[in-house]
Amino acid sequence: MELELIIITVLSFMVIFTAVFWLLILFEGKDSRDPKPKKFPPVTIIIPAFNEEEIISKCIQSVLDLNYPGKKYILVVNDGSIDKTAEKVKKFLKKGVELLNKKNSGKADSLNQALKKVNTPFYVCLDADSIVSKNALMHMMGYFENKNVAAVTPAMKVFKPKKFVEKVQWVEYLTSVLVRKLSSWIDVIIVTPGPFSVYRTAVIKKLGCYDTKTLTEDMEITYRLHNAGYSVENSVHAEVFTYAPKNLHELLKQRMRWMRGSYQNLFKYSHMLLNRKYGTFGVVMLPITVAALLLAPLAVGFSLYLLYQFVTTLISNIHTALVYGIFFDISWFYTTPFGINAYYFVIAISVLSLGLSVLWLSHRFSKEKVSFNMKLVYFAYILIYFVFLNVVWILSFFEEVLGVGRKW
Amino acid sequence: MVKKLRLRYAALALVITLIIFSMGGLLGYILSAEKSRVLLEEVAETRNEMENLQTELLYIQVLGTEHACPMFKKQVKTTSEELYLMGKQLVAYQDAKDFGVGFEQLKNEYMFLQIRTWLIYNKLREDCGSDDVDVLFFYSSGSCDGCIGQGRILDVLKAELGDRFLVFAVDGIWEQPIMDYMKNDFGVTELPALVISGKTYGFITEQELRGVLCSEYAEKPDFC
Repeated sequence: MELELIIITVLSFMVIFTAVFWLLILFEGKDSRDPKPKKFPPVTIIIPAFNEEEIISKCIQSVLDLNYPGKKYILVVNDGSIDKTAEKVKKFLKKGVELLNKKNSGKADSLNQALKKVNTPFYVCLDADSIVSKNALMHMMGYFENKNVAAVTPAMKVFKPKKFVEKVQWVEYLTSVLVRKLSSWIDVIIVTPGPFSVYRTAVIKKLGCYDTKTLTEDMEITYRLHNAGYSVENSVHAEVFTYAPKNLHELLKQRMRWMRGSYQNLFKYSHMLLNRKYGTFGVVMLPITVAALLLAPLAVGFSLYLLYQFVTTLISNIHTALVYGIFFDISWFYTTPFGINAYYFVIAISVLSLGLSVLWLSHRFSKEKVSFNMKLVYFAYILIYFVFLNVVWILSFFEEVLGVGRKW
Repeated sequence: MVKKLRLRYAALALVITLIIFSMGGLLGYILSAEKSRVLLEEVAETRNEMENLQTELLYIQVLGTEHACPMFKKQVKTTSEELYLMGKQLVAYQDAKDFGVGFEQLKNEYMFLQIRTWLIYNKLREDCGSDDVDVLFFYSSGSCDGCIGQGRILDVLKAELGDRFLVFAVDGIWEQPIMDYMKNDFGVTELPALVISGKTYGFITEQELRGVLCSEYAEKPDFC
C-alpha cells in the first residue's frame, strides 16, 4: 500500500507540475501575434524526398502557392527514390523548381548537399509528405528581425485524419502547437520540426550543417542552436499539414526513431543539463525531459497495474451482479467511484481536470473546435496514448543502449 | 553567448503543485478521519446499547420477568440492524483501502460487539422464545471467492424477511482467540460459512438457503 502511494504521488506530481508550468506561461498572456516582416529576403525551400510519389506534387504546389513577396527558390532533393518521385518533380521544372538527384544517404545528408547550393540568407526544410498553408512564410519571417533568432518553427497539424490512430495524433499535434508556442516564449523549443522550419543559412553553415549520424537531425540542430546561444521562435499561425502514420506499426516505428533521437541528443548535449550558461533550456527544460524519461518505466508499470485492478474489479462486480442481481447496497455511500480512496480520488480528479483543460486550451489556441464526436479519441489520448508513448520511451532506450542499427 | 534564465515559472509551478498535493492530502485525510470518527461514535452508541442489553438479560435471568421479553427482543434486533449497516461501511472502507486513523481499533470493537450481540440474542431466544431465525455468517476480509456472493444472497433474504432474519457477520480471518474458538466450535474450515440453528453450511445458494429457512420458521414466509 505505501509503495503504491509513493508511486502514484511521484507520477501525478510530475504530471501536475508540468501542466501547471505550461499553464502559468500561458496565463501570463503574452502576445501570440506574429511580428510583421519589414523585409522580404529571398528564401530557398529545400524538399528532401524519398519515395514520395503520392504526395510530392501537392507538397510542391503548396510551396508555389505561398503568399510571399520575396524571391522563393525551390530545391527538391531526390534521395535515391525508387518510385516515380523524380518524374513527378520534373513536371514542375518549368515552374522554376530545381531537382537534385543523389544516391540514398538519408535526410541529413540530403539537406547538407542542398545547402551547398543555397545562396539565400534563409532556407526552409520542408518534408515531402507535408503541405504548407499560403501565409506560412509571411507569418514566420518577421521573427528574424531579432538577429539572435536562428530558426522559426511552424504550427504542425495532421493532414485530414481519417483513421483512429491519425485522429489521436491530430489531438497530440494540437497540444504540441500550444506547447511549442509556450516554449518559444521562454526560448526552450526542443525541436525545429522537418515540415517547414525556417533557418538562418549562415548560422547553420557556421555550425557545420546537419549531423548525418543522428536519427533526428531536426532535433540535433535545435540543440546545437541552443548550445551556440541562439534562439528559436514559433509562429502559431504558420500552419503546415503533415501526413501522420496510419496504423500502430507505422506510428511505433516513427516514435521509436524520434525517441532514440531524443536519447542521442540528450547524451550528446548532456553538458547543457542544469548548466546556467544555457538558460532556461538547460536549467528547466532538459531536466523536465530527463525526469519524464526516468519516470517512464514507472508510469507504464503503474498504469498497467491500475488497469489490471480496475478490470478485475469490474469483471468481479459484473459477475456478482449477473449471478446475484444488482442489489442496492448501503456501502455504496461510503466509498468513492471504483473503490479508490479519497486521496487517490482527489489526485485523479486533479490530473483529469488538468488534462481536459490542456486539451480544451490546445483546441482554442489552434482555432479548432472541440467535437463531441471525437470523445473516444480524447479518451484514448488522455488515458491510453501516454502509456503507449512511455512504452516507446522504454523500448527505444534499450534499443539505443544496445546499439540496435540506426535507420530511418 | 549566454542564454536567459527564467526560473520563476518553474518555481511558481513547484509551489502550486505542492499546494495542490497538500490540499489533496489534507482533504483525503479529513475525509478518512471523518469517516472513522462517525463510525467510532456509532460504535460507542452501539456499545452502550449492548451494555444495556446485557444488563436486561441478567435482569430477566435473575428476576424472571418474561413480560419484558418482547421489549428486549426488539432492542436486540435494533442493535443487530445497526451493526449490520456498520459492517457494510467497514467492508467498503477496507475494500477501498480508505483506512482512517484507528481503523483497526474500530474493526476490533465492531467484531466484539457483533459476537456479544449474537450471544445475547441467542440467550434471549432461549429465555423468551422466538420464531426469528439468525445466521452467523463467517466471511473473509481478504481474498475469498464466494464471500461477496454469499453476502449478496443474505442481503436479498434480509430485504425480504426484515427483522425476522438476523444476520451476524464476522470476519473469519480476524486475529483474535475468540474467532479461532468459534470456528473450531462450529467446525468452520472454509470461508464463507453460515451457522443456522447450530448447523454449519459452506457456501449456500439462494434456493438452498430459502429451503433451510422454510424449515426453520414456524410461521412460514411467503416464499415457502
